Amino acid sequence: MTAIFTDIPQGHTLICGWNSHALKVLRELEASGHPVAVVARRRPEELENSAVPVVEGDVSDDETLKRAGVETAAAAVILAESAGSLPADTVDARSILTALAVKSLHPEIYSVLEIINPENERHAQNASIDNVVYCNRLIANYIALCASQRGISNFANDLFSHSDNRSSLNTMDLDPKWQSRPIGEVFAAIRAQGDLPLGIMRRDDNDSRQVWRHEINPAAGTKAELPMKVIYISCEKTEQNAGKR
Amino acid sequence: MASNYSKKVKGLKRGANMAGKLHKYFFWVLLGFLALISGSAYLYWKLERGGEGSIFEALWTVLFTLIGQGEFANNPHTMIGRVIVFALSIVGISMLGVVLSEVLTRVMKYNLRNMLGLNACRYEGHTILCGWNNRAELVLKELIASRQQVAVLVRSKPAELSHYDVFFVAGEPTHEARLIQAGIEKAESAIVFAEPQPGLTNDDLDARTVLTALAVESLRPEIYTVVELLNPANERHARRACVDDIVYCESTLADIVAACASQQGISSFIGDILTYSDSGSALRAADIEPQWEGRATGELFAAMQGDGELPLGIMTPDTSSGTERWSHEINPPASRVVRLPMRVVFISKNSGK
Repeated sequence: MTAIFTDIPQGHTLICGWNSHALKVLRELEASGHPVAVVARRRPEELENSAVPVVEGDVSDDETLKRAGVETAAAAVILAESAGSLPADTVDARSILTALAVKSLHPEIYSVLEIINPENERHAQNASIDNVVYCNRLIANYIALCASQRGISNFANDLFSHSDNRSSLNTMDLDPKWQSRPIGEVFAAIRAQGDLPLGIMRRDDNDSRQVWRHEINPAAGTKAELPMKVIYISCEKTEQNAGKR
Repeated sequence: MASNYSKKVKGLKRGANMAGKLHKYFFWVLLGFLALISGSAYLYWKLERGGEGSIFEALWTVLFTLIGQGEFANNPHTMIGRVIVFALSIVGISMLGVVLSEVLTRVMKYNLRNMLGLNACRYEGHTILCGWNNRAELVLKELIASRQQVAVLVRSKPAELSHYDVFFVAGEPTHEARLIQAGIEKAESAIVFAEPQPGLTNDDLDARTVLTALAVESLRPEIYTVVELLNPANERHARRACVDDIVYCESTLADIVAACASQQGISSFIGDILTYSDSGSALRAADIEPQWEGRATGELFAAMQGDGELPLGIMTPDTSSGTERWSHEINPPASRVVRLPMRVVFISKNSGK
């Protein structure tokens, strides 16, 4: 009955499912200025005294998702919810079913799916998921980075975390006024504001999903062609992180 | 029947004793064989050929005489020559057989010990992976892509290890003898994995991880140790064990998943800068060379950009902790002066392996 009184914000990010790192995901999203709603089988213990809206129910059920405002949400994060000792493929299958339900209710939503077995990516592609995250590969790459590049872990943590109020990795849509102007000028403007530009992202028109291709450190003479995003490190957390420039 | 059996056993025992003695005196057998060959070659060259031609030709002839081939084997001219042919045909060929069989046995034994993880690692500046879990193979792949030599110390050999050129040591990662066998004394870094075991809680697993890290650090305090912890509450134990770097899988994963959702499209960039084994780019850290001491970081960054690299920041040693920890500064002012030791963090292209 909790859901009836839940005040769901619009343009929010929906967290579907709950696992051991869900709370950290929630905190990070909040820290980056994104309102969040949670859909989970039961209200997580960690959110007992929290003001975060929680909708209880089957995460792959249309009605539950509608109650959580899936139709007005900007993004959805579908977490790998390992209930008991289910095999990785079963957990992935459940996650993909949830993603499928989310996408069918709101095709324009930006969906991020966490999967355990990379071989299940083809199913995620069939479900038109915009972004698939392989847990083990990401962690493995991160561990290898820490071991091979001494002392870099603090730097990387700082980069990926928004909740530490220090530097963080961000993207922003390029404003139309930059159309056809050299990227060198865009980067100079970003540097003038104390941020560090790293690269650009172009929309992949051949893919029905919202897939972006990145280019690190592009040539200064490259012309900006919208839609385009700029990847940059903001040296301290600001409200404009997610906005347009 | 019983006497036949006891004869066979005695024969086997004699054979084993002989093999043991041969193994013990192999060096002397080899030395004797080489002395026989070189002495014969010299005598043949001096007496049979009167010092004509080169000594290497004489050596070549003697080697063929050993297997009964060539003119000298069939028709020696002098008495000494006949003695040499006789000695080479009887003693030389026997010694050659002994030497070859012993060499073969040693090679096979070495390979077998390697397969079973019983040999000692002779790598230098390598990385030791202690324990194994479902992320370990991916870590191994990345380390190999970043051109590091790797030794793996694990209780039983994982099947996937046979696909990689790594040194395998079988044993308990907390045992000092096994760590020494994995070359801990000359290793550059060690990664201790949280190794899942049935019936153990996250805290139990973390306790085992910290014990391994403790053994690693006590054997070689200079080594750079990275441990994978499951419960952040156990960090204090890892810090007491002087671990240099701690990775919280859940926390890192959460950061990246949240970044993917809040910064739409950024996941391919994050995946790219964390991966060495693709043809893209990766995040790196390198010591600044002494030539830059006293100069501005702006100059250094401009030089790096000229080389196609993308500098992001600098790191300086954090002297307040007993472990090797670094403080960082992203996008420092161009006027910041380089004071060594200092490291630079940058993004550069992978070799494409």
